[in-house]
Amino acid sequence: MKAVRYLFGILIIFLIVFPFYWVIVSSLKPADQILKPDLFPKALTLQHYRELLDQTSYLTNLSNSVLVALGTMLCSVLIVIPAGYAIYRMKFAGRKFVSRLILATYIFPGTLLLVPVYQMMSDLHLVNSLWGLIVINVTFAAPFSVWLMQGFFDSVPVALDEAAAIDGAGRMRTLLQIILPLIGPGIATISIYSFITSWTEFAFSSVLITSEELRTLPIGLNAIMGQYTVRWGWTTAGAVLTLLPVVVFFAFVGRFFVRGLTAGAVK
Amino acid sequence: MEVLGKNNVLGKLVPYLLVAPIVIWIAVTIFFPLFNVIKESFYNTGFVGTKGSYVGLDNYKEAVTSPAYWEAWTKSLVWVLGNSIAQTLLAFAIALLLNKPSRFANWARTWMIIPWVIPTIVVGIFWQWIFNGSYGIFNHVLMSLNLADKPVNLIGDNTWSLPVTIFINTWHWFPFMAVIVLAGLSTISHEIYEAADVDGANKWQQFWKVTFPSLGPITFALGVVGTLWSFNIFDTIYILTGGGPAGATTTVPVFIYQQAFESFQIGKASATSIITAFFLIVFVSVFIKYGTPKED
Repeated sequence: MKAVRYLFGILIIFLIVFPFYWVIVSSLKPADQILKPDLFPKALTLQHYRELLDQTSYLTNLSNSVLVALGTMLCSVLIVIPAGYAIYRMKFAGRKFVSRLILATYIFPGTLLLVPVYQMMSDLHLVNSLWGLIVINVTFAAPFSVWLMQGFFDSVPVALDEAAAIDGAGRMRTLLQIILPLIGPGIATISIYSFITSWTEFAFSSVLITSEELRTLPIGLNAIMGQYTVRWGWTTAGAVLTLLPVVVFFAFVGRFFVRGLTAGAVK
Repeated sequence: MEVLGKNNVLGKLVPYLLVAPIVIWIAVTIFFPLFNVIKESFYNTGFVGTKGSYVGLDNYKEAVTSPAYWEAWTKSLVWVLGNSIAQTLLAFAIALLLNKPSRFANWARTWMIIPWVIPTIVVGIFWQWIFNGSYGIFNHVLMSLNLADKPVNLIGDNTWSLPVTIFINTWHWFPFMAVIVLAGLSTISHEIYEAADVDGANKWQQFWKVTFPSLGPITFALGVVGTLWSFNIFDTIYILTGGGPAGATTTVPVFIYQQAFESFQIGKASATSIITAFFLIVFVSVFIKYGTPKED
């Protein structure tokens, strides 16, 4: 039984790690060796990376991605926290309706909305604008974030709100000065969730962005792939450069994120 | 006293002011466009941004009688079932494996989610590179083990493309599911297991009698949201196969995308969207009605 568990564990680790290893190693192989199945490269080169940075718009794509992800993160925190506070800590008529409405967004998802969102954005002159991407990314990051915040709001004793009310603090002051510092881990979790949702978004970015200089990383990478199908050096190097920022980011905040996801999902 | 009364009215308004931003945001970006879909579904609009003329229910009639649409539904059902089964099994197995306090388990819990963190396009490149039909490492292994005599192009193969796409999407999503299941497991107290041990229940009985029922609410949430999520996945399929070969991986979302942005039939795509959303609503209602875990 123990042997089976170890075997299963090793298999899973291999399954997760191997694709990373293989693409990273391939991206470092010289052009004449990249198509050979050597598990360990005979020579290493940064040539593909240099070419990618010089000849493609990788850096522009990167800065677009960062801007959109930060914007998405900021906007969703700003709308999720007040909503979560009202839904999970206040009594008001229509509370159930609001929380159902937020969940209902899952029923009308992505692709079904590509067309009408494109039309709406074009009426609002938000086609081919990073703002348009931020707007739609928040739509898809916020509902799950509200749901995640429930566990965090529930972990703060209601007695604190009552004590604050007796001391004469209004609802907003209670939220800002008393609750906010206590739900820090929750805010971190939904920030990271929004960031990742935005960083990986593909469908809307490919429809809403029409000019090359506003492409985000996934779209830029898709273009490199389509244009140079056989240039696996660029494609693998591009893949590494696209996953690298988010993996570095995750190395710092991953612990908090998984802990937060665990705490938030429990309720 | 008057001031106090005014404060009271204001106080009643506070929760509405707090939820207003998110409600407006969602209304503008989801429900308003939705009205547009409903409107367009009665017009024969072609290109995005052009104006069509009113055609009544023609788009709906064409959608329900289109064999390609129902073919897409078959693919979608295989897609959703395949993904749910594979992801649920993997997520549960891994969660049970990591559900004990150890340094390794702690570390693994964080890092195993990494396939979910990276963009779908990167996931696509990973596996297209591994499964490449001419020089992919997978083919090399197959051939050196004598399992194949010439390279196979799995992603471009009529029978294999759908299962392989399901496998790749599972690789992308199971870590996230595993974290959610782990969250559920962490709520079960150890005392219940100790009691079960005392009563002489074996591990298998413990799983079905204690673990599984306690996970009811989480399994339920994953059942609804997870099914909708996986039904609506578009990017993985579009990046890997574009719906091909010969429609082998054209699920409903891919079908709608092609109708709208490749055949330029916005009107028809809108009607197809509405019919699809209707089925999803039926699914969610049935699921909630019969699947909601009983509270005790």
